[in-house]
Amino acid sequence: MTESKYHEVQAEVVSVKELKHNVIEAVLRSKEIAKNTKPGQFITIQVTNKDESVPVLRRPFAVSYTKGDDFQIIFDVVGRGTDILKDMLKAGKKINVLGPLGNGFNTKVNGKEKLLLAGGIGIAPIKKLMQHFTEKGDQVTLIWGNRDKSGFFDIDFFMDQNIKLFVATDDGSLGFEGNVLDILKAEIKNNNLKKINDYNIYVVGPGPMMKAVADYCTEMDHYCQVSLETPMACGIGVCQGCAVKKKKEDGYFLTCVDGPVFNSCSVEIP
Amino acid sequence: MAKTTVNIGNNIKLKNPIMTASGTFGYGDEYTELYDIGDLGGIVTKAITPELRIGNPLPRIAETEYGMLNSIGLANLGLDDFISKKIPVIENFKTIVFVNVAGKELKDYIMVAEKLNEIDCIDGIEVNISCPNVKEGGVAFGTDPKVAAEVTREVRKVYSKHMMVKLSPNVTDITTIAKVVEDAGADSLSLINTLFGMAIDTKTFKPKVRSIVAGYSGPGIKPVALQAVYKCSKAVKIPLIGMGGITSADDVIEFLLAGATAVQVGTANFTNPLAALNIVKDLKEIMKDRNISDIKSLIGGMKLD
Ligand SMILES: Cc1cc2nc3c(=O)[nH]c(=O)nc-3n(C[C@H](O)[C@H](O)[C@H](O)COP(=O)(O)OP(=O)(O)OC[C@H]3O[C@@H](n4cnc5c(N)ncnc54)[C@H](O)[C@@H]3O)c2cc1C
Ligand SMILES: Cc1cc2nc3c(=O)[nH]c(=O)nc-3n(C[C@H](O)[C@H](O)[C@H](O)COP(=O)(O)O)c2cc1C
Ligand code: FES
Repeated sequence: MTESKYHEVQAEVVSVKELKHNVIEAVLRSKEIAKNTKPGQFITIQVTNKDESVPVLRRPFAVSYTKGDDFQIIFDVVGRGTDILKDMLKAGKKINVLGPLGNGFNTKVNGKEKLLLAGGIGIAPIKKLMQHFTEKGDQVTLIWGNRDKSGFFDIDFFMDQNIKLFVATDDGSLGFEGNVLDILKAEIKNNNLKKINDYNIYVVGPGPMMKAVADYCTEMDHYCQVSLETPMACGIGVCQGCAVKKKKEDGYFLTCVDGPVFNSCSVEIP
Repeated sequence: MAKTTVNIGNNIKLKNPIMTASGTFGYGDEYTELYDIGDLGGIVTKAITPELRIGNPLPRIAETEYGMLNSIGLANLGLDDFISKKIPVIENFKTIVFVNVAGKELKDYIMVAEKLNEIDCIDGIEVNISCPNVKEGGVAFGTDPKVAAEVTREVRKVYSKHMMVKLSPNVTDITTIAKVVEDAGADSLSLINTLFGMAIDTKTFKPKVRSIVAGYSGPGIKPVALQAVYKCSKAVKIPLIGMGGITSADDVIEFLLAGATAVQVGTANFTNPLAALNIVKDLKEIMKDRNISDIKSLIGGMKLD
């Protein structure tokens, strides 16, 4: 039998931290997942409580870090599923995880510096990508934007990394005042960053943010890699529920197997 | 060893009554990554239409309190690609394989059925006259008794292996359709397809699925499915394959008691990709615990006092 692409595992919860109100970082133990996950790939978790009415759909999350047999997720508590998940995550407990799923970022584009742009919780997959590049010794610039300063968490971790870090807030309460694209343009103009075409660009954040960066890249005759979120039922290409529109032709990609990472030129960002 | 085999008509023998439902198990290959699907009684593929279909606008799925809505619109790779790309994989499956057949017009059904009749590794077809998610065809074939009978009769003429017909619950009386489809030559009936359903986001005022009305599946529909199986079991003689909200071996027993000969597991595959396999294992355990020596003894075994 050939090596399996993905695994269904009972992962042990190693540790759980509330990074700030309703942002949870959890470390889970599964060799199959930790050893095989590439940056940008994701897992799904079966969320169950003792209540009879359990959500029928698993919840997808990016892998944000790996170390040995352990992998990490970071998530916002935004609704029913993540609320239950928050309660499920107790050290020593086992939870049902499927992964690694999807195609991650293309990290093999050589020669250029890496520009990582994160909006809000989009920092989760970006963190794993940063880990990959810094371990290889690549030059990494990270710009992280949030609506206001309360959006940031674990900022010391990022300040400790051997990277160039910029932060921006819409209201100027921390770092640059403006969105990620505003600061990007400003720092290029100030010569703190190189020309946009000199970077491999990776963007994860809310749709409008990714769209704005993608449009700017297109305008500059460049492209970026974006990681998309859609509703998902199966995560493995079966249900056709996670479709996203192709840009240049009729038809759809499946976010779970063709993505979640796409070249910004090929896909309509939802 | 407790006996788990069941026969659907005289030409299909399932090693256990658990099959997977169309649209929730792809073409089987995605799940072979996770387990040996040879342990299942059988599988049913996603609907196949003559041409490739890209499917409906987005979003296509949404979760609800006790299940989910879908409006996939029969997105599939089309008959020719199915034969060239998927059949070579399916040939290796050590389980019963049904192909779900759909179309816009009667001739679409005939064309797909005729081609599939020649393919050895396909044990039967499940004629989908009950898809709520396409404007033309789909459920329109399954809600008018005359049309349902005609589709069944015409497909029967070109298909000599096992022909299962899948019924919609979105009718006034499902037994009317069941009876005409039986008379028109179906070997078995599967039921139920999804119920009509919808949901609205109260913050944005938008429908949660773009088609507005979609197909509702999952645990919430189980009581509806059970009564449909029960009523049909009183109305027809051909075997019934029950489905709708099955998540456990206990649910399987419930469907058999209501009159089903076998079952299909749908939405539960999304909750846990090993759901169907786990149900097979649990069913064997339960049979041991409750001294059920032959699964067939449960079929239609509900007791009134
Ligand atoms: C590939 C992928 C990777 C993801 N990675 C992360 C991650 O690393 N960290 C993280 O916090 N979240 C991530 N998400 C989003 C996360 O899956 C959802 O926030 C979660 O499923 C919501 O579940 P819920 O039941 O709590 O919320 P629900 O009650 O289902 O919804 C609450 C709100 O969130 C919105 N929502 C629900 N699901 C999604 C979704 N899939 N995409 C966008 N909006 C949604 C709803 O429209 C609603 O407004 C990812 C999603 C995908 C598809
Ligand atoms: C995402 C999805 C896609 C489906 N696609 C098909 C299909 O192509 N053909 C079909 O006959 N039924 C299709 N169905 C219906 C299921 O096969 C099944 O009849 C229904 O979901 C009820 O069973 P469940 O509650 O166990 O899911 C689909 C259901 C879902 C959730
Ligand atoms: S989530 Fe089912 S096909 Fe992508």
